[in-house]
Amino acid sequence: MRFNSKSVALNLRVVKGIPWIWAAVGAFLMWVALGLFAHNLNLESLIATSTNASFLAIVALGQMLVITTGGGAIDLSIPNVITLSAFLSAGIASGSDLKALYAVPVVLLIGAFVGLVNALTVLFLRIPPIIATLGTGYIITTAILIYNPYFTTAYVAPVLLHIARDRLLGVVPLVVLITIAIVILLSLMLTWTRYGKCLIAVGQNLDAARLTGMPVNLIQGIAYVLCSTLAAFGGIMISAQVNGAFLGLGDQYLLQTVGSVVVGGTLIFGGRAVPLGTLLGSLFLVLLVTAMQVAGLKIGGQFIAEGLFIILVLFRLLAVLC
Amino acid sequence: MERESLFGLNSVAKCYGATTALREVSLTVDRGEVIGLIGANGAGKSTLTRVISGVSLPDSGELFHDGHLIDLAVYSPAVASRLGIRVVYQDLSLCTNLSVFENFCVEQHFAVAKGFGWRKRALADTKRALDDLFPGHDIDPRAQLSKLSISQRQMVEICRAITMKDLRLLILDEPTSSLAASQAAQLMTHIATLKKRGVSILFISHRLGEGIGIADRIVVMQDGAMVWEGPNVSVDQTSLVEKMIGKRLSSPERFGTASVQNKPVGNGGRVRIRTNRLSCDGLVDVNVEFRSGELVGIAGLDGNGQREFLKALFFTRGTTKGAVEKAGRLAYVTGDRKKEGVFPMWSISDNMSIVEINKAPLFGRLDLGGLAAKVREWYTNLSIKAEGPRTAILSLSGGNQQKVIVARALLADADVIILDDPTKGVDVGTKEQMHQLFKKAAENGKLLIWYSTEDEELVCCSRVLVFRYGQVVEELKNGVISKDRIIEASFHGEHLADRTGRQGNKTKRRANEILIPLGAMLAVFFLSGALQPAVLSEFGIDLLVKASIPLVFAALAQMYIIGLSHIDLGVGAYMGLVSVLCATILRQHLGLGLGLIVVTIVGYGLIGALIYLRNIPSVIVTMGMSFVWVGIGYTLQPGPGGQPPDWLVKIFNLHLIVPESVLIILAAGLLSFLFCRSRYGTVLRGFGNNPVAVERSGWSILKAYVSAYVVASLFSVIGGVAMTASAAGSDINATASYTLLTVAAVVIGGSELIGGVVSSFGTVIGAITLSLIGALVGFLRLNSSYVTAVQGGLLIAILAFRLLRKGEL
Repeated sequence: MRFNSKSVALNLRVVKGIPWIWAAVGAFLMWVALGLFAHNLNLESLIATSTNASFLAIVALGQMLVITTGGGAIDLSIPNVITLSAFLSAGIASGSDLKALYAVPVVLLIGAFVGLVNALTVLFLRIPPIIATLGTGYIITTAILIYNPYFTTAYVAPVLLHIARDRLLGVVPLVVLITIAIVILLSLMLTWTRYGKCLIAVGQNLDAARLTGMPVNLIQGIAYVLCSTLAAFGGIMISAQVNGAFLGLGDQYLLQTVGSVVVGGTLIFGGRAVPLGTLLGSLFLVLLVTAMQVAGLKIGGQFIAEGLFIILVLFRLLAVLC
Repeated sequence: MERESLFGLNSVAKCYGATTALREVSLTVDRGEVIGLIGANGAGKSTLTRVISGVSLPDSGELFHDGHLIDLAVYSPAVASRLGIRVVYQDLSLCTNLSVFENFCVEQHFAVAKGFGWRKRALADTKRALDDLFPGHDIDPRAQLSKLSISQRQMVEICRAITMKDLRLLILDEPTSSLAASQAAQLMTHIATLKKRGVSILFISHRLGEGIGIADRIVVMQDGAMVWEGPNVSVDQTSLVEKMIGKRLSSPERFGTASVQNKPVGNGGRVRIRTNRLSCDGLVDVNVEFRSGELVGIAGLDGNGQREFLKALFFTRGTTKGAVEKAGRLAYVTGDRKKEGVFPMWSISDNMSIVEINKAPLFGRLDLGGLAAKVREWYTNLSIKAEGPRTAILSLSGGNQQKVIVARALLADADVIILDDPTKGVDVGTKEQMHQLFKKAAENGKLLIWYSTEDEELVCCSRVLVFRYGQVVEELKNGVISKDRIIEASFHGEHLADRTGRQGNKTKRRANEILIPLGAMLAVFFLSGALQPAVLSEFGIDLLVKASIPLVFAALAQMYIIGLSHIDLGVGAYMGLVSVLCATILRQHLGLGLGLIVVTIVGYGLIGALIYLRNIPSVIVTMGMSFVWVGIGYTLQPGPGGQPPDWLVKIFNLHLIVPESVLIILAAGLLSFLFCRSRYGTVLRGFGNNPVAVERSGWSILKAYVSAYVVASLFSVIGGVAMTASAAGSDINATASYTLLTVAAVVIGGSELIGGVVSSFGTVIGAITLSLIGALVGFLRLNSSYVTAVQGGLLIAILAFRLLRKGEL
């Protein structure tokens, strides 16, 4: 059952407000609180955090598209794609700019391929997205485990390092600019193209969407492919940032992508996507994690906090809007 | 004749947001009286029903029962049920995963006697009830509801309500919409019987003739108020309609049986649709040819393939199972707007333009200005009642929403418009408007294929095809189309009944479902035995089964969550935490350890409550909680270790005749099986299928969710304890991969991910099979990394295989 009257009633109220406002407010408050606590309330700290947030945002925007297809769809294979892409990009590029030139497209293609597999499993084998992507994730993990012993790279191609770490005119990080560009592109896609409208329609009512004659499988499939491709791109960037790759690199991103997307105003049951909100949500989340580390919370405590956070977000988000 | 009052409303008002659904309605229902409630869409009939049955509370006004004032603070469907009030809704409230008699039990939870053997008693009661009300029916009370046809389901639904003990007031909302004429007649007879017994009936129907025929008194509602009431003899169909719309009808013959003259349509139109031996989805050898400018009617008793025909025309491509040749663009207008028509979060404008934008390339830029202009044009053309095209569509009345859906097809200038009962449940005024629209569209050269369950609507068609058993049994041409001819033709073709062979073997399926996992398990077991003979010894079996115990319990826990159509991403993490608690705190402080475990069980119950109260998807909550469980586990025990209490280890290592591990899992399976077949277990399964319906029967969704999650956590707790006992230690990460495994076990065992179909023993077998695969991979000396891939692969293979068998792949 995709829509019951309760969720529809709540969602109608949401339609009237600005969807990303809570993510914006939350991020701002978190930044101020963290800055005051750590005595570094300045623009520089914000810019540094926004770099980290960008990595999360790139991946979260992909998750946003899958969630928008509706029916409770979530892509659980994102962390595995990130890790795989990190390994492959570092491994194939092997520190050489020339090899990086074909490493990047190859990794992106592999990401797209994973998205395609997800799409086929969900749409043709009719396996629920959660199970399907969970399964794909496991298969990717197996692949990584098999590849791991052969992985030897100690450093990353300079051009990738440059994109991940450097700033334009010494002020704005390149990766932030790329992320903002992606946000703009997706926003335009959602409002101005037929694909965007159809994606939103599919998320609201799949049966109705079918009856309008739109190619619902193709539309959902593209969402999965875009999602995994963005995850692959994120993996490339992240591996450049950490200068390598390691097992479990992408694990933290599962909860965090869902959190960013939902805080940002995208509806968990599908039918509405808010790219700007996802970006702001990512910022919020990264600030939260930083705050926890600054507060000295051990790994166990951090897990508990993150878990409670995501539940609270959905709890309060819906409560506030009532 | 003086009658005592059974139920009364006094100045009852109800608003839903800005819409006033009931305006100071006062109504008295006497004992043994049949009231025909008539009204257009938005008249307030549904709201009135909801108020009387306790589903909605009025904003103001009073309700009386037997002359006593009802305390609205505690009024609910359960209370109404106890007062003898029962509603049969238009949308069927049955659970397709339960059998017919189980559906009866879910409903009459006050009536069925408790205790051992309740299932046999319930089965007998059900059979008797069906025979009483619909003699000559062909329903097997043991059959799973999903195997019954729509009209059979409606019979079950009505029977269930009518045979409720202590029935005082029965509300029937469009009860005959899916019944055959003979069954509708049987129902009317029974209503007369009920009347004699003193039961009052509120009969809601758009079929005016029916209402007038059966009722003692007619009540007409309009815009939330009662506009007229009086004895049935003082009205006829035409005057009723006039009272509803508040003006005289232009041509009084409309509801008579005189055939309206049909404008002959020229045969020069281009062929738009041609089918050649179309035989899918229950259709048999349908050959038709439709041309531009035709208004083709599709008629016949509901459920004889009409909808399948329409959908086949829209969706079928190519030459599979008979060809459908199409020329031009098709558009589909559905009558079931809530399920497959409306995009609920969008505006009127977005809803209207969604078909038109299909003409644009997928990633091309839309002409938003042009679309807006077209929307404005049709918005005015159809006089849609709203604040403007950008209003949210759900703020419109049903009739106006329907207009938007029709406008969708017209705006897109489709060549072929398929109409799937577009005027069902729509008020008379809007119906008129739509008829004019259809006629004009046909005159403008469009091909309209119009299915209607109200035969008199189709008299304006150029021809009408009457369906029976998936075939066209009669084609009524120009000049001879009338309601009487259509009804008569609807019963033709009796000799075609056996050709479709839709009665499948019901019992066969259930037996099969356990054989597959059983076969898989035995195959893996003997394969392992071939590679490693020690497996086949008692010691080997004990060892392997012992290793599978944690997964068995985790899988059973997951099964209850999947039974609700949810999924638990934290089942492994939770079991890991329980295991850690056993190995750490439980050893030193028994009381504290047990107390903490109980706290976590309560926590699980709260998860269920949260999911229901806040409508948060189970995936997210359980995902979040999995982090919480792991976090607590890490905090208590950063690395593997710990030691369980000695007495615990002793319990799990008793030396009995049969390996103890085998006894444990058999007990687990049996316990779960018995629970699922118990009264409340059946109710829980029902909730996993149709929560709205089960709630209407008076059960609490909140209690159900909490119960299911608590039961699941209990199984996890046993599993966690067993795990620590056999491993003599704990590791919070040991069960990290359990999510996929438990889902795989549940699915392999025959349960379904959505719809509440669960199998306890199957789940146990599935879990053992998966665990054995882990061992098998070891015996084959493969890299252990392959284990999860094989297990995941098996899951996908089983799901794909099931699809194949259903023929949907």
